[in-house]
Amino acid sequence: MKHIRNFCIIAHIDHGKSTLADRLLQTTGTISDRQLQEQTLDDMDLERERGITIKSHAIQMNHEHEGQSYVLNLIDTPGHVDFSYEVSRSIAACEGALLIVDATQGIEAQTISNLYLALEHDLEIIPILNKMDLPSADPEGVTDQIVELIGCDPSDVIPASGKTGQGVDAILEAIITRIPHPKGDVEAPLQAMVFDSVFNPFRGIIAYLRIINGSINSGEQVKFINTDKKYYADEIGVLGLDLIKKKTLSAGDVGYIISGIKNARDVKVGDTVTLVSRPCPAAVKGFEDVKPMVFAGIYPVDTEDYEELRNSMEKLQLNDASLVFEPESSAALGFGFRCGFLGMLHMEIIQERLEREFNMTVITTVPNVSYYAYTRKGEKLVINNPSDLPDPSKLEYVEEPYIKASIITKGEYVGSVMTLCIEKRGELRNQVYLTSDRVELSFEMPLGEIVFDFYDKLKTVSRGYASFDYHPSEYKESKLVKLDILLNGDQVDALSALIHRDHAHNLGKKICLKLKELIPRQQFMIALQAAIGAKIVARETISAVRKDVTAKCYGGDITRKRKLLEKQKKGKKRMRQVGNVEVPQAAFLAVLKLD
Amino acid sequence: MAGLYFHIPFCKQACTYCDFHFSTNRSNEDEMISAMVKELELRSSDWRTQHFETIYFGGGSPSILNKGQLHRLLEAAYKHLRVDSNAEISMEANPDDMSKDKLQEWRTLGISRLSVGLQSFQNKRLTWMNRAHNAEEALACVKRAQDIGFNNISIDLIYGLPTSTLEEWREELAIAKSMNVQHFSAYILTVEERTALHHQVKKGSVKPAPDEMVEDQYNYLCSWAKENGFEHYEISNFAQKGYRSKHNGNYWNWVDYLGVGPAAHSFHNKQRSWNIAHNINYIKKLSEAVLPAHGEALSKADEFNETIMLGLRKTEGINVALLNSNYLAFLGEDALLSKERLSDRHLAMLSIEDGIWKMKELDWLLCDEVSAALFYSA
Repeated sequence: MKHIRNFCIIAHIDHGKSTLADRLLQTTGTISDRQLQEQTLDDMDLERERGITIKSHAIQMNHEHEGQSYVLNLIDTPGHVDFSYEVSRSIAACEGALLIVDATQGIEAQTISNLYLALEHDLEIIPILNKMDLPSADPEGVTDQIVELIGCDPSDVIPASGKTGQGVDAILEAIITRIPHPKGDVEAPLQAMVFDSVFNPFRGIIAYLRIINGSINSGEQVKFINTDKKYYADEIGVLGLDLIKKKTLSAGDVGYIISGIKNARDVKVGDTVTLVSRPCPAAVKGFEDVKPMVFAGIYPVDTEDYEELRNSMEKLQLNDASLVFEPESSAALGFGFRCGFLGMLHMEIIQERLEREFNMTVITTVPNVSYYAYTRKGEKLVINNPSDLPDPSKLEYVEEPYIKASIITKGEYVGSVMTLCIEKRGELRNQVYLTSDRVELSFEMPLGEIVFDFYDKLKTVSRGYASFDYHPSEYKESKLVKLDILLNGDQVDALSALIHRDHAHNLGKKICLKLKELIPRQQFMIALQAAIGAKIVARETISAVRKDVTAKCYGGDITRKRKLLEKQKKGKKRMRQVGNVEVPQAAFLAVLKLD
Repeated sequence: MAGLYFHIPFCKQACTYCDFHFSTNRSNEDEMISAMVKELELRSSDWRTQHFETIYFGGGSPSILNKGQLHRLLEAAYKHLRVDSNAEISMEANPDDMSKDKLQEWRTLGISRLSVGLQSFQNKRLTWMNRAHNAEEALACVKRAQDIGFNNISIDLIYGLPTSTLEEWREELAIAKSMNVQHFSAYILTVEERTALHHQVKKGSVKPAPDEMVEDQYNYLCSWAKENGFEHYEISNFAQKGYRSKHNGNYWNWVDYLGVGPAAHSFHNKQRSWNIAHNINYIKKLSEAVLPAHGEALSKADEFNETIMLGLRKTEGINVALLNSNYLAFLGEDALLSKERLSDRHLAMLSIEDGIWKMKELDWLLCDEVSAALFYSA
């Protein structure tokens, strides 16, 4: 155990975490140069494209230091606020953390909140200034920020560059000399914490574990305490670039277990694994059942694909337990599913994976949060779909979830960021100057407002110099009304949203304008209306198509023209028929794209 | 019967709306002509039995070629193909190329028909389109050609321009009337991808004319043409009696045509083929005696759909009785066209008489919608 070091990396998106991690793998000989795909740790295509880590990953390295050989376990953490629970479990599996800060950018909100998590878990922090090779690096300024934040000595900060390899040896040395080795009792009953799981189509669920106390042998019967399910440890081992089988794992080790589990839902991140023959007295603290924060309907574009969509979602759920869904039906869209997501990024990821991995074309409806509706009869209803909101005459009041938001930005953007947050019904709680130029703003605001285009707007008003993090706080009473959209007089339930009363008129107008832009002209005139109850608050008209002919048809290129018309005939199939109006996918998310 | 098309892929400058294949780099004109002669030679064996009744120089801007270059192409055509002694030989010409000398040369070469790219008679519109000529040249060039003896002249006009008005279009047509031409083509401005215009529209600096304005201009055009003795024989084409474009008619009537030059299209034995749209690669391939073409053989469904698409564009319409009987055996009952299967909307747009279906003139602008609705899709 004295020769094991378990650590994670805390970094903001784009601060070069993956490149630096690759350097560590290369220097320790864990992977050869040939194997080094760029950003090895992010192995989902989507992750590589977006440059972020969606799932956690772990990898073991071996390194010689002063004649002793050490095992270094790097546990990679997801880099987005949607996945903060997973981050907390990864942190709980470590004794130390590398805090990577871009020397040209400084500390960001996401980094701070993860850093606090790490400090809560008493992790040893090794601060690293990355991207030192860039001419715009500001080592002194950023070092001051770090020193102020964690109270370390400026000489503890390691200058590095993932690009040139600068500082990599110093980092390896710091991992070994500064991070404490794991402390656990090998003789105690097995107590291991699941910090991630992945789905393998041939082997089922592979759960990643940190052994806290005791040991486990291959073949032993184990119990997952929170799900209360028993399995046999068919295979255990450690995580190299591939899985490396072992007979035994013991306290301090990071490894995996394969036990014939078929469904991701049966392995919960944060759960405790123990032996059936000799169970541990208590589960590892900090387990939570992850609750979805954002809800939206997912519908097949073609109603006939409903069963196929169900199959695809079930398969997706096998490796993403945080996705929840149940069947629902919509008057406008027919049969589909109401899905719960961890956040907006998670929702986008699910939609993209459905399209890429399962070749499903789907319609996602306006996302919403989970509301509580209290009726005059004294019932409390959980509302995950605006259409389920009871009639106003039966409604006493509605509560919506609030969050504590932290935004770090430059001094010059404070004004515009504040204006945005106040527009979004936020209340300023605190304002702290981290340095003379960097300000942390703390707001309390409704989660429902974050769901609507908050990130994009924040980026715009701060020209990209703002980072954002949040945590759920409590439910509060709000003056919410249901804003309905009507197409040619028929209400389209999939376009309804709960909106604060003061914003409803204005938003209704904007939504109608946006829909006018997104719904193509059709053979007849289309009336677009926004309504609150029976009252129409906005109206737009899409006039009928009057010409669609291709003027030129010569040069002899008949093929192209024929193909265009064939496409025109097929193209209609990609739109969704609502009443007699053809509505394109994008229109269902119009409310997210308002100016 | 067959037609021969030469695609001349060079222009002095790029018009903002044009998506035909051309290059403004004219340094390799002579190599291009040699390559085209080579292509004609290589392909001629497939076309020996065909009788060519039309030759068409299109582009690009064929009018920028000199006499020698045009002569080489025509010489190759006469040498390798059977060309009718009374063939219609057309030349697409830009006003700025139509000097007296050039017009004389074209006469000597046997060019019998001119299709002049006037587009507009207003300098502000011509500048906006990035045309190389001005309004004055537009008016003078046709007169010059007529004086020299050309008596089969067509002009091109574009309408439905951004910010244009019905009044403006009336004035354009009034000027056109004074020119006493035998034929004209009037095109609605279309925003094609990969053009400067497309970019401007996407950026928002140009706003296309509203459908209603385009429709008003079209309706006026139809009545104006009738008053002035022009037959509206294809969506965008109008002719005095006996002066329809024979060559373009081939495209719409499923007559075989041989297209020579980069990006040129051919139709032969129910196969469509097209050359690569790249001048240098085209020349290179032919210098290796390789034909730089791709193609497709039409399936029965393709044939069926083309008959509908091309038929509805013409004043003759579709002979539905014949079409149904020709394709029943191949496509089955589901493909057959019948009144009962039409929506009320589409039924109202068609005139149906003795098994002939044609678009009503004032609904012609919705021809694509009707075609797509009638298409067979497996």
